[in-house]
Amino acid sequence: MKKTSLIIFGVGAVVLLFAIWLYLLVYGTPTKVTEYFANFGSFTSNTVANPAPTPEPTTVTVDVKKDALRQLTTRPVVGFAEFKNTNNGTTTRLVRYAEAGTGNVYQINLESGEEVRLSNVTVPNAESAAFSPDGSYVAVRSGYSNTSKVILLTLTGSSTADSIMLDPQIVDYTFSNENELLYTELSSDGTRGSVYTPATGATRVLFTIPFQAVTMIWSHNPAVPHYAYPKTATELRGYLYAIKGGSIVRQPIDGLGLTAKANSEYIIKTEQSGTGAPFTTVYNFATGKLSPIPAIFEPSKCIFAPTNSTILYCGYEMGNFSQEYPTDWYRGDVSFADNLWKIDLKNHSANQMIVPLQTVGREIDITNLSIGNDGKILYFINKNDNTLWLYEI
Amino acid sequence: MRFILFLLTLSALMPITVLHAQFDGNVTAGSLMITAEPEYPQPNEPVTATIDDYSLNATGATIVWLIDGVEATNVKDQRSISLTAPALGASKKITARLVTPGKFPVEASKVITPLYFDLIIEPMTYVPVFYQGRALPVFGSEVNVTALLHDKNGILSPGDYTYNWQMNGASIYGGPKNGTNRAQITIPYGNSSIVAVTIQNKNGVTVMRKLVSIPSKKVSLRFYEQNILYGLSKKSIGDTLHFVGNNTTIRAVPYNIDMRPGSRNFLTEWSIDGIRTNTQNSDPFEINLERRTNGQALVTFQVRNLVTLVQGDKQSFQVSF
Repeated sequence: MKKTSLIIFGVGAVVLLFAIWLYLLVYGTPTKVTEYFANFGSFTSNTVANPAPTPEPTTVTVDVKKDALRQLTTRPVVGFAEFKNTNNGTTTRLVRYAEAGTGNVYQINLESGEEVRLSNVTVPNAESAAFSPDGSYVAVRSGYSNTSKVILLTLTGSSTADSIMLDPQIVDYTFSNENELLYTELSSDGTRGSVYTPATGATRVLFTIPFQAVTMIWSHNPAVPHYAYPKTATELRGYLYAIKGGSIVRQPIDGLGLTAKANSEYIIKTEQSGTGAPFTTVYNFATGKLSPIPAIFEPSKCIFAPTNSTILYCGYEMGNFSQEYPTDWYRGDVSFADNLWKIDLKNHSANQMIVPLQTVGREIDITNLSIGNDGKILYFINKNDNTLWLYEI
Repeated sequence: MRFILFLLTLSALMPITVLHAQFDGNVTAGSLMITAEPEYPQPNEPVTATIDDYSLNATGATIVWLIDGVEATNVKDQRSISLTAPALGASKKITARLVTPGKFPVEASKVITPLYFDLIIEPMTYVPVFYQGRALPVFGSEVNVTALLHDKNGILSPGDYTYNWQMNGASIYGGPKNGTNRAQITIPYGNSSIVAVTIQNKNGVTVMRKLVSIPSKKVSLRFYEQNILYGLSKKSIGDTLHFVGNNTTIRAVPYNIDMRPGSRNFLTEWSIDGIRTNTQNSDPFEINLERRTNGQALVTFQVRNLVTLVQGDKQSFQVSF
């Protein structure tokens, strides 16, 4: 190549680079706010896509040997359960959870900290999940609208799962002690409660409720019936019903904005007072009396101890509650920095077990409070970021 | 002649005398009543029983109260007494006896057989599946009101009763209807509506009457951040969203909007700093945002039901990116 051509080529390249730099200098910064934003593809949460496998992740180790209160996941969680695995006389405590958004199922070994993925089936827009007691099945709701569907995953033990989309328009669901799916669906004249047996595919109706806006208090204790009440609205009255033998039996519990939780001896209820502030009372089945407790109770923030029916554990932040509580909390308009409390319903005493804000420096808005079968570990989701936590009692 | 005049006079006066006797006796016995407050108490509910003797001359009378036939000596001469309604399935007979010197005692009784009676208000408006509360009624939306009578075994068959539903004083079904324990109403303009129901058994005896106030609320928009990998945030976006990643999806949720078929003709509009934005999303309640630089912008969404224009809301939040 001639020297002249080389110089011309070099000058041309320099001019081109200068032109690019000049263009970026002049036009590189958007001038209209609409240019900041663009549609980034199109997906809709209302569309229930078919579950699809996602790539294999690497095994991670969760730090499980630290404080009594500790964070188990960094992933957002929509459902979880504790299991125990006995091998050669050694019992290992495991936690399985379903990841928000993807519906992937993971298992954490609380002894070793090892976390493995049990299901790589993607359940789009996973909103909530329930685990069967034997750990074989996971029911995951896909979607956030009223057309969402529930997908039943059968864990096969090889990092994948079989999945089927359940036909009913399921409203509320859980698993029974017999590993059957208990669920409610809307009917023309109210709500129908049914049980689905995954092993056989059989379904049978358990009860009907003559209204549709139902909150279920599912019981996993044969001595305790399921309960139901109209979904809470602070300006509308609610009534508590026990479901006995398929019949709906009214309980002596009602109130404006009623929320409730029950075991074999007590019913805890929160309602709005005449001045608009919520208050909580406890009903004793033995005495038929209501007595106040010095905390504001919300069902998903409380759990009865499995081994002592007089003990209630609650997440609760002392302070003023609005006239709209708990519906403002349900909407996500307010959040709390909860402390964990142990409430003795028999002796009318409450003991503050831990203040997470002081212990771990985090505001934890407790929801989905659950307890292990031996009553030694509390599990809950932090509503602020949907991460899973535990507290050793 | 005198005898005939005497007979005529006697015959003319006799009906008056007889009528007077009937009036005197019936009113004296029948005008003593017991009223209860509340009129139809629930099981174990406090009740106030009051004697109503406005047409009696009860001056100097002693008032004796009997509960299930046993005299309650501690409330003697009280015109009102307080007691507790019996448990579900039980009855309590309250008797008030007026004892006037020189006259026969006059008694009135009332039997209280409480039932649980629930009026369940179910607005047919929208709330998302993750919201654990009940939807609220808005102007023009429908509300189902269900009346449930209970005994200790469960819900009493509606077919055994006649229901007379009224809203704001006007009959909903034109009059009582047998077995109609559910009313569907459309919320009129105003802050609230009064729905009343009177229930009679097959003997025509009123067993329950109740009023309930149904509030009329507004459509209320909330925004939630949604991620295909991390799901939906359960915390609504307040005034400001701090945009951390490169892109995010925002879902607008119109709480309490009418979602009936035929009423779902919605105008939806997203705008950024006042400039209308075409989201190109298949779901008009979603918008995808992508960050290209730093700054702030005001994101606004409005929804309006074109069938009932009053139903709608418009809300904004600031994005820091």
